[in-house]
Amino acid sequence: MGRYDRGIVDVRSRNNVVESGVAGRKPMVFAHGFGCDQHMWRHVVPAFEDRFRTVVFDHVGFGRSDLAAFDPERHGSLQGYADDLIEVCAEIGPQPAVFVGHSVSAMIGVRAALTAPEVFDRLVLIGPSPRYIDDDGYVGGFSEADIDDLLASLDDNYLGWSSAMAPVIMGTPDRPELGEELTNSFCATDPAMARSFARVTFLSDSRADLPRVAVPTLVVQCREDAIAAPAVGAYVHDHIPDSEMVVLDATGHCPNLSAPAETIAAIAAFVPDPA
Amino acid sequence: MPAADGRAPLPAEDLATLYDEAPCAYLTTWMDGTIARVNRRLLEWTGWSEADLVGRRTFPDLLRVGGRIFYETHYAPLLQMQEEVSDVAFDLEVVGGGFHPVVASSCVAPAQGDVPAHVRTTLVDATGRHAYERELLAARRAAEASEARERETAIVLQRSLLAGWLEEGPGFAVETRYRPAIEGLEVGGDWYDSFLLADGETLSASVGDVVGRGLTAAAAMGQLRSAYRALASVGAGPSRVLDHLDDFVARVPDAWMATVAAIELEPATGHLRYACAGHLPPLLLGPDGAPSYLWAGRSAPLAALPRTEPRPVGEAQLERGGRVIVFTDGLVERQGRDIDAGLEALAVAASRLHALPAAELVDRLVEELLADEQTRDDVCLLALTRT
Repeated sequence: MGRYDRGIVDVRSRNNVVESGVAGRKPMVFAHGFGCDQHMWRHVVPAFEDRFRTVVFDHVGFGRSDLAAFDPERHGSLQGYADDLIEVCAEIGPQPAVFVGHSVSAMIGVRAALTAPEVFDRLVLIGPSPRYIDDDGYVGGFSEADIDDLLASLDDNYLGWSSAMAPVIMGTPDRPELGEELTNSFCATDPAMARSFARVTFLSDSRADLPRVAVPTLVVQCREDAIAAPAVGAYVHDHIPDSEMVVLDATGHCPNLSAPAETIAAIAAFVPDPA
Repeated sequence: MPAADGRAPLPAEDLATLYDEAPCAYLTTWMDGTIARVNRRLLEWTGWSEADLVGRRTFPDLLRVGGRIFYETHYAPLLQMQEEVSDVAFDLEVVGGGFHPVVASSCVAPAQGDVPAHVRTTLVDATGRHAYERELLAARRAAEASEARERETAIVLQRSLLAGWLEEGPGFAVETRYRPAIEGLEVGGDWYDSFLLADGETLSASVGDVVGRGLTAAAAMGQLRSAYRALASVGAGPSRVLDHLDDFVARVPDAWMATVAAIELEPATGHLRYACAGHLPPLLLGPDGAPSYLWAGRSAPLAALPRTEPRPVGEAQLERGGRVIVFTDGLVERQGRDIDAGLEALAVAASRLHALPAAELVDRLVEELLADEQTRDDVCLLALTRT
């Protein structure tokens, strides 16, 4: 019942895929992390537009993705987001692409690279963490109680979302300027989806994926990061065979916003010029 | 000198007093979050001394861990992207235990000369608001849970109205499809059913259509389908079943003028008996896909006319590999198009697709025939194959 109502999935609108740069060139795909949307890349992407096909998108549930495409089962694990990412790459072609992932999307990219090895030939992981929760000798930086506290924090910012954000984000995909006018809109989303993504992100364990990564990988780490500490970045570097690590003289979890020049330099030095 | 309204003049307040004695907490941080200046209110709320904070701690250091993560993943990026953030709820940790709920807003002061960019933040006490909002949220969650339970109950009840049909048996297989007119409902006024008669050898199949849409039609449909099942099971045959249904419908106003296609098949011999009360004719497909509509056995919708004669019955032969497709008008009827054109379209499509497995055949038929649908009606289809 209802099975005839569902059309063919339009990946571009599902994930609000936005392309720029040189058509037909090697794609460089930027994936935003937990919290905000593709605007996280706005200082970084322009530096690569002269020689790459640059692609940004929103994970389902964020930014101007199609909220109706949120499937609690599919999007209940990093694999679901990785499958979305693989579909985005198939849509833009040609493959393989360079992947640049921030925060939890670093591990979404790793998962995608293991699921569909033809999709990426280089991975850039910014502020990656394969597991946020401490575990028997492994220091991720958080306890499970901390994650419950985060969910409570998301709840506390729930009401503001429902009254002010919902009509704008849900109802007017054809009038994006309405969204721009609202403060906080880059990082606002449906509370249920935010909770789900928070759980998926902070309860995930991708440590077993790391040794299986078969493409050259760059870890970009801030010298201080309360979400993914330098020791966590070093762990990722140690466990991905063909990897290197750059430690930026920047603090915080979002060097793509706070230190774009250093972030760009690190990526540019790692990724061969496709021209 | 007194002011014009007779009040005593305000004493002079220097900026430091305004800053420290404000009813909200102020803090100024560098772009990396390191605290550069705080007011007395903040020290009062948190229990820190100025020396503990300035140059030594960051704003997120003052927050409970959940807020710290939220700060790094939402607040700081927003500040970078739009240079201001407003109305974000945080809990300040209090030295020695406990916490103090606040609502934070920040704006970026751009770099000027030697002074690098920094952030001005105001924290407003939210103790009362916090408790109230948690209550609102709890109430909302309770309402959502209650709605989910009701929805589940409704779904179970609705599905029960179409439950219990027989998919296959010796010599036959049945495939059905259903699409309610009202989005969000599981059923409408249409039904399908299939079951073995009391003799254990004859298959009874029916498709019916109660006038109207939505739950009222669905409730009447449920009654009619059950009545049909009870009447047909004993082996009264299509004609008498429909006659008895006339009497039944006379007492169920919502089911008045319902249409029914009643079919009985002996799978062993392929002998088919059928009667249509106001219903569109079933489509017979030979094993080679040759289509023909079963136009005999026609009579008026249920309880439409006073009856003196028994309803007529048609007979046909269903070869092995042949099919009978029984459907409701939602599949073929379109505004501004002759019903014969719809029937022709169905016959052509069914004939072209006849060799497909039954499940695929009915999927394709629904897909193709509803492609030009304009107004949404209940759609129901039953395909009976003699195997």
